[in-house]
Amino acid sequence: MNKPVRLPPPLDAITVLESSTDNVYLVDREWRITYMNRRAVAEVADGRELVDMSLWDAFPDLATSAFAPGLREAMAGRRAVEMEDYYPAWGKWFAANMLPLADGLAVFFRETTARRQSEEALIASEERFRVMFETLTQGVVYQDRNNVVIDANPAAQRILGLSLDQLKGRSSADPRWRAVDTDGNGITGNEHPARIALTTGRTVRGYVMGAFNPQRGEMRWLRVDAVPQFRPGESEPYQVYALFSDITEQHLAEEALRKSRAHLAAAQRVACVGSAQADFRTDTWEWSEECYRIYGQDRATFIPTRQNIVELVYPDDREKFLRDIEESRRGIDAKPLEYRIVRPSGEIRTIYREVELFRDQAGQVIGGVATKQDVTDIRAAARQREDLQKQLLHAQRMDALGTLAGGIAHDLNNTLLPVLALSELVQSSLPAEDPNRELLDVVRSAADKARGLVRQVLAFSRQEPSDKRELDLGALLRETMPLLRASVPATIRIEEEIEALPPVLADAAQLHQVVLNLITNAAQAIGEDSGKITISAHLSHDGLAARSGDRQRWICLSVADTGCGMNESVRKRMFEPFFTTKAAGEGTGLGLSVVHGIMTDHGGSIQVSSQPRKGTSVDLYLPAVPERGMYAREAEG
Amino acid sequence: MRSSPETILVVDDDALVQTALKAVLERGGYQVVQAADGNACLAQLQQNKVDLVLLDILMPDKEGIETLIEMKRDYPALHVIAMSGGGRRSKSDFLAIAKKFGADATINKGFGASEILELVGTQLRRAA
Repeated sequence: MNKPVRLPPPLDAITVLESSTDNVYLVDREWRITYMNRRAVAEVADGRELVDMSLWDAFPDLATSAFAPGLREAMAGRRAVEMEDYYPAWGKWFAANMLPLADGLAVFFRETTARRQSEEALIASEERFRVMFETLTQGVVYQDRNNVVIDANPAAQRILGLSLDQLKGRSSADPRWRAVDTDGNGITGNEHPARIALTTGRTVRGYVMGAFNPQRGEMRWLRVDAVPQFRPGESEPYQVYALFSDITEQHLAEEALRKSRAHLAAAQRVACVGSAQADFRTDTWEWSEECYRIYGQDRATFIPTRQNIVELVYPDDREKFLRDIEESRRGIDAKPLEYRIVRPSGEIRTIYREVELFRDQAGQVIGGVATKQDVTDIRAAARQREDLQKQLLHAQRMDALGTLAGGIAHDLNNTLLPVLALSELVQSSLPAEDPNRELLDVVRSAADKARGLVRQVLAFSRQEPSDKRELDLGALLRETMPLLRASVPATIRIEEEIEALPPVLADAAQLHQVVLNLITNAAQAIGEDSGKITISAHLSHDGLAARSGDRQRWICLSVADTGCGMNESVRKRMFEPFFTTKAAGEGTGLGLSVVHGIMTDHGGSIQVSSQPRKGTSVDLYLPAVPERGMYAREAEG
Repeated sequence: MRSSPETILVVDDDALVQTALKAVLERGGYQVVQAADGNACLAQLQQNKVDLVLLDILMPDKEGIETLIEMKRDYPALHVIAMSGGGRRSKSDFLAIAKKFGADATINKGFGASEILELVGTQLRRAA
């Protein structure tokens, strides 16, 4: 039931209109103003004067304003008109309600300029934002709280190679992104920056990732910021936007640079070549990684200043190193330099350095770039190669001499046979008192001596059969010692230093011969002075075994004297048969060549060190018989 | 005393060695036939009854080792003493090789009369 609402008695219509916050005008059907409420009166100058005036006269600009049609429609059409528009005469916006009454029209209006302006500002702002969104070169993608794309700007579509329709509805976890990180590993949905921003509520900045662009058919690299967005008063983001730019070219260039640097570092490492750049104006050097490695220094703790570098240089080489730097500073083009450095471990390395100088526009030298190559191993290998070549040449020479000597010995044996056999034959046929018997004795002893020489030559040329057995070299030396002492003058002291040794496979008689020959030489080198011969035997721990690279143990038998020593030219030829420094008739020149032949036959080797007037040491290396069980262990291991 | 002298074949390309050995062996009471190389040696064996061969290991034409192998193949019972002045073609020890190929005894050249006579006597006693 609709009951008409009755106003309480004091609240009659006029009271209501008077208290309205709107401007209220009442006009009759002739447009004459019959009433203005307080607010309306206050709003215009001489407000009260307007009552009874025609509305159109009271506001001459009204007829041409946007409100005129509304007023006429309300009056003529007998229906309420509601409108809002600009009133140019006052420069203000108004909202108006025109209500038809029985005898005219009630017009309610209020100024809305402020509201209009803020609305316009908002629209303009939205418009600006839209333009920005649409024209931004960076891609922008909005995702809802479920991580699903709800909007994307044209740049995003272009960068990702996907239309808005294709983008909408995709989540970060969608495999079609083919998202990868900078190491090329796939990014799961949870690692996606937009996802991280949503779950943590924090902005993710500068995340670099690759995503597949199906339009280009290639991976594009993006730098992404993801910003979570919150509704007022909420602590969990309701959406996130990802702002990203295409950094593919930059990324690829960086990647290429990084690879190129890594490549250079690897090349330097492989070649053992470091590089250093010097700035003479600041006296500082910039080293490559390899340079630090070569010097054995840590980049974190070592600063390559001139002073610091010089301290790493081997003391004897510092002067030339500094002189070289000074010459470079003065603009003298430095020649390649080789110097030694000492690593913190005490290891000494040899560095080969080449340099190219930098000059400023005035031609003044301001710095240089140098390559530093660790040539330690190369130099060592070259030395070893030279040594081997020398050894090979020597071996070939000895071999040729051996063949030659063997041939001569063979012919000599044939020649000696008739002398020996027939002198004996003739002698035995002579009567006991025949004086020719004595003469034949001379012939026979001369032939005997010749036969002894031939034996020695054959021993050198390794054509004398040997009888090798496992024997204890120490015991053999101790047995021989009395004989050795007897064979040298009393002015010469013989010292023995014999360790307990593993057995060697050797011909005892031949080793006797070797030691005897060496002692005889040593004694002759000392001559009539007093002196000392040291015979020592020990298991070798030095370079020889290491160089051979196997597990072979070597026994070193050494005979050292305090005699006159040898110069280099004698030392080079000492093993040649018939080479002698002794006066004619005092030596055959076969002693050491026999030693050489026997040692070669025993698989051994000889090292000689000698200094004129200081003495000579001959070191013989013989292979020790492998320990029993050595190979068994090997087989197990 | 022996009823009939034993025959010894001396094989050596060196005429002086041949002469000396012939003199020594004949003085020792043996009959001596000679050959200067391996082929002549094998020919002599066909023509004569030989009790012992003194064979030089290094000879022209047919090497001593080769001759030794053929002799031992054709006359297994024949005793052979190999002689060498020391090898001159390689580092091998010829006498050791000769021993491996059937030489009954070996001797280095540069021996005297009594040495060779003693060795020949020993070998003949063994062969008998």
